[in-house]
Amino acid sequence: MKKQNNILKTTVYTILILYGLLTLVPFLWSILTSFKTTAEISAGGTFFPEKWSFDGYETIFQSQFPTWVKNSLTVSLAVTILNVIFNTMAGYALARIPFKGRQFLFSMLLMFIMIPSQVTMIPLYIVISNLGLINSHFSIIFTTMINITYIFMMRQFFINFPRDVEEAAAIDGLTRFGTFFRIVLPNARASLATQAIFVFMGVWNEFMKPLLFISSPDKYMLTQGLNALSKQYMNATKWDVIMAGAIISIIPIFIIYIVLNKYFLKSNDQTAGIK
Amino acid sequence: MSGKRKLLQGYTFMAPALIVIIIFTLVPIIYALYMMFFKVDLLAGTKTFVGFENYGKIFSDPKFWAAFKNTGEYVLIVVPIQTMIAMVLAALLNSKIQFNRVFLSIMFIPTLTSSSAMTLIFMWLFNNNGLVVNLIESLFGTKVQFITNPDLALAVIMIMNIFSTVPHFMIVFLSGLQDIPPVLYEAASIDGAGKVKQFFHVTVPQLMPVTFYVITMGVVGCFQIFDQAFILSNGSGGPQNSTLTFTLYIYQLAFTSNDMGRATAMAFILGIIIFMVTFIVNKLMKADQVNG
Amino acid sequence: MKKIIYALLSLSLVFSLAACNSSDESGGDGGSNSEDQSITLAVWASSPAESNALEETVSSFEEKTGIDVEIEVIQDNFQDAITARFAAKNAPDVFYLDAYVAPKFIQSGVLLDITDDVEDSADFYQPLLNAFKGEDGNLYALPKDYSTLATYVNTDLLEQAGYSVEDVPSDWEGLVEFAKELQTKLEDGQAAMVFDGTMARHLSAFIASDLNPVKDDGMADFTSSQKALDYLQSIVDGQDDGYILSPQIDLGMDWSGAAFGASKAVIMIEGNWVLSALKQDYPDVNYTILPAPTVNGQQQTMIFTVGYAISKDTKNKDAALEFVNYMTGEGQQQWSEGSGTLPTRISVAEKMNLTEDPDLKEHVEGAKYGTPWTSGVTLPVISQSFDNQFQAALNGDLTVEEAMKAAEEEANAEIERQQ
Repeated sequence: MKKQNNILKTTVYTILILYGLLTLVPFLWSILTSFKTTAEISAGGTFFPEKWSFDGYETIFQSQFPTWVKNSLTVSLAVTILNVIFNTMAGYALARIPFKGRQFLFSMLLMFIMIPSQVTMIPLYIVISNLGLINSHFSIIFTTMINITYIFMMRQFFINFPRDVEEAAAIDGLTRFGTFFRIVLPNARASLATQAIFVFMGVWNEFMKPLLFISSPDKYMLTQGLNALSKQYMNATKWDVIMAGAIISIIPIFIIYIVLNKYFLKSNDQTAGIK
Repeated sequence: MSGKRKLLQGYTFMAPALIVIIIFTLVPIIYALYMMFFKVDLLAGTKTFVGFENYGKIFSDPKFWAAFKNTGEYVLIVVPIQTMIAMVLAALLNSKIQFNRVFLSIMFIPTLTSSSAMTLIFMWLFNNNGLVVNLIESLFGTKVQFITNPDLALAVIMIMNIFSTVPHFMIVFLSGLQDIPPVLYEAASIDGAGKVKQFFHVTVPQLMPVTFYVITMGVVGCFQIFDQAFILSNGSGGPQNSTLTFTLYIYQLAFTSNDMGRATAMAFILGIIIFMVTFIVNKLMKADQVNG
Repeated sequence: MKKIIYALLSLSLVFSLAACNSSDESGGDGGSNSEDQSITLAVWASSPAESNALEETVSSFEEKTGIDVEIEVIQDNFQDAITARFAAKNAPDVFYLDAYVAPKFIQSGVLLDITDDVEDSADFYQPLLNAFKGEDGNLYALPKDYSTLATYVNTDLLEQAGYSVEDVPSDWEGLVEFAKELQTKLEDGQAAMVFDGTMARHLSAFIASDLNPVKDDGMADFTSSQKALDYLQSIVDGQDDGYILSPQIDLGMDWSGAAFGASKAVIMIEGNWVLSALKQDYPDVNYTILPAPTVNGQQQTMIFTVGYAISKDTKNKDAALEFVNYMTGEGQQQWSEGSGTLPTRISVAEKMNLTEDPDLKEHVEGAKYGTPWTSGVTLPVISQSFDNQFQAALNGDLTVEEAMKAAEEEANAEIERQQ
C-alpha cells in the first residue's frame, strides 16, 4: 500500500514538473533568443547565446515601441478606471435599488452578453467612423469601458453584501451616492481589484479592436505594433528583435501577476470566461 | 423612499453603462440586421438592396466551407484535449502535494500572455529554422515544416490555443473539485478503490456539470479564434485556407473584398451558432452565474 | 454626487465633440498659400535604405516649398488599412498605390484625376504610366519607381560545380534542363534554383505562352493554353525532383534573397529589391545578373510599379499635386539613388547612367519588354485563387491541370459574388 502510494506520488510530481517545464520552455527559449545576434539565429543550432547581445532590445527601443507601450498603458489604465466605477455602479443598482424596469434591463444585458463581439465588429466600425473616432484612442476606450460580465459579477457581490452597514450610513444622513462612494466601494475592495486586473489584462492584450480602429503607427497599441514590427523583421530573420518585443510586452502583466497573485487565482472561479 | 426617487437613482447609477451599451452594442446590432440585406461598398460609399443574396453568396463560397471545416477540426481536436489536460492537472494539483502554489503560478503564465506575443513566440518555435523543427530533425532525421505546410499550420494554432486555455480551465476545475464532498472519496476508499479508480469513479462523474461548462466555453472560444490566425498567416488565412477561421473570413470580406454586407451576414451566421451554444449552457447553468 | 455629475458631463461632452468633429471638417480654405500647408503621406514599411531615401527626398521638398509632409508608415496589411481609412473618411492626402490594386481604387472613384496636372508625361516609361490609367483613359497616379525580374547566378557555386556563366541557357526550357544537371553536382541542402510560386512572378510567362489569365470581361482563364500548363508542369516537376526549390518550404529560409546569399541556391529569378540585401547582409557572395529567361521564344519579365495617388477629398489639392510632381520629377533622382529603385522617367534613367551599372543594366532593359503586374479590377481575386491552387499542385495534392481548373472556377465564382 505504502509502496503504491510512493509510486503514485512520484508519478504525480513527474507529470506536474513535466507540464511546468513544457510551459516554461517557450518563454525561456524566447528570452534566450532575444539576447542572440541575428547572425547566430540565422545559423541556428545553438541553445544558449554564444555572445550575449542587446541588439534586439536596442532596435526595439529605437523603434516606435516605447510610444506603443505608453499608448497601451494610458488606454488600459483609463479603461480600467472607467470599468471599475461604472460596472460597479450598474451592478449595485441591479442588486440594491428596486427601480422600475430593473428586470427588463437585466434581461437585456443577459441577451447582450451572449452576442459575440464578431457580430457587431463591422457595424461597430461604421458607428465609430461616423462618430469621427477612427484612429483615436477614444475608439478603444468607449468600446471597452463597460463590461457586462463584471456588471453581473458586482451584482452578485452586492446581493450577498450585508445591508446593515448601508442602513447605518443612511441613518447618518448620507445620500445614496455618498453611501455608495464612502461606505460601499471601500468594502468591495477585493472585487474591485479582481475586476481591475482582468479588465486591464483584457485591454492590454486586445488585438482586433486596435487592428480595426487605429491606423496611424504613432497611435498603435502595443499588440498591433508588435505584430507590425514582427512582419518587418521576420523576413530578415531578426527574431532577436521580435522576441525582445514580445518579452517586453509580457513584462507589465507579469509584474501585476506577481504582485497581485492571490486575486488572479481567486477570481477565476467567478469569471470563467475565455479569450 | 419614493418610487420616483428610486427610479432616478437606479437610472443614474445605470446611466454610463447604458449609454455605452446602447451606442456601441445595440446600435451596431440593429445596423448589422439592416446591412446584411445590402451590398455595401465602403470604398465607393454605395449601398444596394440585395435581400438574402449575401447569404446565398456565403454558402456558395468555398472559403466559408474551408472556415467551417477548419473550425470543425479545431473543435474536435482542441476541445477534448484541453478539457482532459485541464481536468487531470486540476485533480493532481488538488491532491495533497507540496508546492502546488508554485506549480499553479508557473502553469498560469501562458494565460497572461497576449495572443500576439504568444503567436510570435510559437511562430519562432515552429519556424522552419526553429527549435521544434530542429529538434524533430535531430530525433527522427526528417525536416517537418509547420507554418508553411497547409496540413500542419492549423496544428500550431491548436497547440497554442491548448497551451493558453488549459490554465484557465484548470482553475475552473479546481474550484469544482473543492465542492465534491470528501465523504464520497472515503466511501470509495472503504470499497477498496485506489486513487486512480477513485478519479474515474468519483471525480469524473462529480465534475460533469463543470466539464460540460468547460467544453461549451471551449467550443465558443474555438469559433471566435482570430488573433492567432491573423498574425500567423499575415491576414491571408493561408497556406491554402488552412488557417482561415470564421472571424478572419469576416475581416477579409469587409476589408479585402470590401463587401461589408457579406461580412455582416457572415457575422450574423456566426452569431447564431455561438448564441445557440451559449444559450444551451445558460439553460443548464444558473442564469446568475453567466459569464462572457 | 458632484463627482458623478462631472463624470457624466465630461462624457457627454466628449461624445458631442466627437460627433461634431466628423461633420466640421467639410470647410477648409483650399488656400493657395503653401507656406502653412501640410499634407499626409501614407507609405508601407520598407527597407532601411528606402525609408532613409524617402525621408531625405521629402526633406528636400519641404525645404524647397515650405509645405510640411507628415509621413505615416503603415506597417502591416497596407491595402486593408487604406480601404478602411477611405471608408472612415479619414484617407491620407497622398499614398502609395500598387499598380496591382490601382484599378479597384480608380473604379471606386476615390482618387483625384491628375491627367491635366502632370509635368511632361511623355518622359515617363509609358507602360508604367498606363498602369495607372482608368478605363476612361485618365491618369490617377504617377509611378514613383519600378522593379523588374532578372536571373541571378551565384558564380562561385557555379564554378565549383564546373560550369561558367556562359553555360547558363537563356531560355526557360534550357534553364530547367541545366538546373537538373547542375543539381547532381551540388551538396546536400543546396538548390540549383529557387522559385516563387505566386502568380505575380509568372504573368508575363503566361502571356508569352499565349495565355491571358484575365480575360477581357475580367473573368479568369488558366486552362486554355497547353503551353502555359506545360510551363507550370516544369516547375512542379523541378520541385518534385529537387532541383527547383521553394526557399521557404524546401530550404527553410525566409526568402530567396537569404537562400541565395547564404549560398544555398545557385540560380534565382528575382527583382532588384534583393540587391540591397546582397550588398549589406551577404557582401561575400559573387553573382552575375542575366536577363530573365525567354519563354516560348519571347523575351519576358515582370514589372512591378508603385505610384503616388491623391485622394479625391484632399483639402490640400495643390500641395498634394506639387508633392507628387516633385517626387516623380525633380526629386526622382535623389529618391532613386538613395533607395536603389529604378527611376520611372527616361531622362532620369539616362542621367544616372543605369545601363552602365552591371547590377541594374538587365533590370532597366526589362522595362522595355516586361509586363506590368496589373490587369483590371479582378486581378487580385484571380491571383489569389492561382496562388492557392498552384500551392496545392506543388504539394502534390492536385495535378497541374486539376489545380488550374480549380483556380479558374474558384476565381470566377468569387468574381460573380463580388458583382
